[in-house]
Amino acid sequence: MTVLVVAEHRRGELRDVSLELLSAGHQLADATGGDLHVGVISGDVEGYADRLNREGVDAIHTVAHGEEFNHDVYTQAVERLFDAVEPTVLLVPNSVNGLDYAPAVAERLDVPLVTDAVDLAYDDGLTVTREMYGSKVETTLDVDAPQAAVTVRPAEWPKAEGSGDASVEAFDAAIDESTVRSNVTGYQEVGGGDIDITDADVLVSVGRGIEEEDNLEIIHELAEALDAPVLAGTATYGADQSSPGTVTCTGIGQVAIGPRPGSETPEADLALAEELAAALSKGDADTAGGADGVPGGDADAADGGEGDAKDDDPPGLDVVAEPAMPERLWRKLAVNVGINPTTALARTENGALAANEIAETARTAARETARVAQATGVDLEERDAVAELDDVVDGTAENRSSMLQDVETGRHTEIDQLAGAVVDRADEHGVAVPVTRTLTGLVREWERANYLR
Amino acid sequence: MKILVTVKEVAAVDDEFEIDGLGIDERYLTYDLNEWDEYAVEEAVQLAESGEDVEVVTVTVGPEDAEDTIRQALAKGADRAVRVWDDAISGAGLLDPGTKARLLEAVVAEEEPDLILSGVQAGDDAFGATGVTLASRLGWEWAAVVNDLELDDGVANVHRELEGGVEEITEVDLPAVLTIQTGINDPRYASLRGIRQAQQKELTVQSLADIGLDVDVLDSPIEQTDLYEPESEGEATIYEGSADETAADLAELLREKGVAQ
Repeated sequence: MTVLVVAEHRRGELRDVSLELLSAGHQLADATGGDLHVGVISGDVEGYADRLNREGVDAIHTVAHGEEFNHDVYTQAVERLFDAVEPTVLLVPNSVNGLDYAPAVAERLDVPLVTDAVDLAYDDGLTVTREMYGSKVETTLDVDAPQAAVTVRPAEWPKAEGSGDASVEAFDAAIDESTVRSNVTGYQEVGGGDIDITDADVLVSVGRGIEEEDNLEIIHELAEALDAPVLAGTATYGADQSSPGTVTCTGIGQVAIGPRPGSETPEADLALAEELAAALSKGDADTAGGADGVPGGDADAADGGEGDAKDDDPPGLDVVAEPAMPERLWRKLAVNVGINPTTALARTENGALAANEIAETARTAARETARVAQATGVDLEERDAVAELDDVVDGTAENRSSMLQDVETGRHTEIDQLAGAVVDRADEHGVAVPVTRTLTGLVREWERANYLR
Repeated sequence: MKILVTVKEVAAVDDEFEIDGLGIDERYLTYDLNEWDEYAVEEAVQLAESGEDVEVVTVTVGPEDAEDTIRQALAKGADRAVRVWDDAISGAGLLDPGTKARLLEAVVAEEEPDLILSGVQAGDDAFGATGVTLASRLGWEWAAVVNDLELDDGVANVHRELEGGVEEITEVDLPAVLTIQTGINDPRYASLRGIRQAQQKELTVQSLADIGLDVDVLDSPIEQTDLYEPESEGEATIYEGSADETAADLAELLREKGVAQ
């Protein structure tokens, strides 16, 4: 059978989904020994045709009319191409623009339309797999018609590769201007987001599972293999594992990303962090990413949450680019070293650190951490560490720290990654940290007594 | 001016659920006003509040159980509602966008609105195609995924939310069908007064025959043949019971997988 794919481009760039559609189309056409045709409409059609000429493509039809996407032009052009090529299946991207013309084309041609396909099969007839109920289930739909239109979800098929020997021919779609009743007058960038997260090939977020700084080596190897930069990041969103496999956000905080400690390209990293932060912060950001860097052991405990997250509609993430990432990571570590062991040992909520005798213990631990940071060359003042600690204690007075939750449920704690890491660094640099050392020893002893070490 | 807003009651599935035939077991479903339609209703109500003599009518293809949801839209400011349903629709299989558009087209013929707002998609089946299909059937203009709207003399100035943080700025001639994206406005909560008034507002129920359609309109070449949970990438087994029992279970698994002999 014959398959017709319609390519998508925007502002001079062919969009990746076009090449993915070639793979989906090739797979379908191949199964039945048929041909794969491609239509490309508006803009630099010759240039786009060159890029679309990949393995498996038999013919490319160019419709030179206008520059950018206009749904009235696309609807007419695809309708005419469909009549000329007579495909069994028409494939269109399930993109915002694809959904702006595919339904109209299907309606005019009187062919059934199935949207958002994640898999396609052809055996006596077309079977489309798609998701429902927010991806909780998959369904299969059989289409009983001689011809059909399908919109294909981006990033489900690999991009077609290789070079093809397709014929490239101009197609006269005889666009009737009198029926073009919409006019695209321009574009507007929102939140400066140049990065389309859904377009990123790979986005790796490294979390606590990495455990120790030494283990970051595998991430650097991965980054090298991917030819990708590694940023540092930290988040103060509160989170709680409410049941196995379910994590509940208990407080809206902030995500900071920036150059990692020891980066050789801090300026380029900061520029990338700024782009990512803008992309992640916009409106309904539903994709979160970022990489956790680790100064002295991972410092990323989720204790800084404030307030309750109870809206049905998640707000956009608050992501900022941070040029002084090492300082920020150490400041957060200081807060965690102040809060976690003290509240875990005293079995109190964070608020106890505001007034009682234990407050001074926590502040001293935070000051000691700042001194260790200074010894490693990071510009973190003792008073800044204490101020941040007081702020977090004030904002999370009713929270139970993660280490307290661990102790109460009899779990192994993160003492080694928090206070223990500070003690190790202090020993390397000859800094005295008596309070942090004592707190570390007490928590470790509790773990030993409970057979957790 | 009359604005018609399509309103759907959608089902959300609990985290844990069971499948019953080609659907989800009713016990695990919660019904509510489709999120995107909530923004479409708000947009229409705001247009009515800022203009003179604007009537907002909702149209729903759905069973009697959906009336609570329709009343929500009335409580938020829609003036009256039309609900299309009968035994034939209830007994039909999948209502694909083409079928839905035919039903809505018949209502449009009766109501003769000047503007139609629909949600971008429904939260359950997420076809995202009914609005544009309807526009094409009516011979009207349209715009999909609209997150900013201003009406001018005979023209709708819209922003369409494209991927990657870019908005397309477009003028479309009226009459038009616009599919409304979340975030275009801040949907209001229904006031107590609004909820009380909603009970008195007109809600007309129409059968296929009432809107001049034959049951043939429900014939669709698209048939749902399966529904299943996608294979998960990894699976966790939790052993419960005494240490003796769980250790034996674990040992058996390790032998089975060839980890231990």
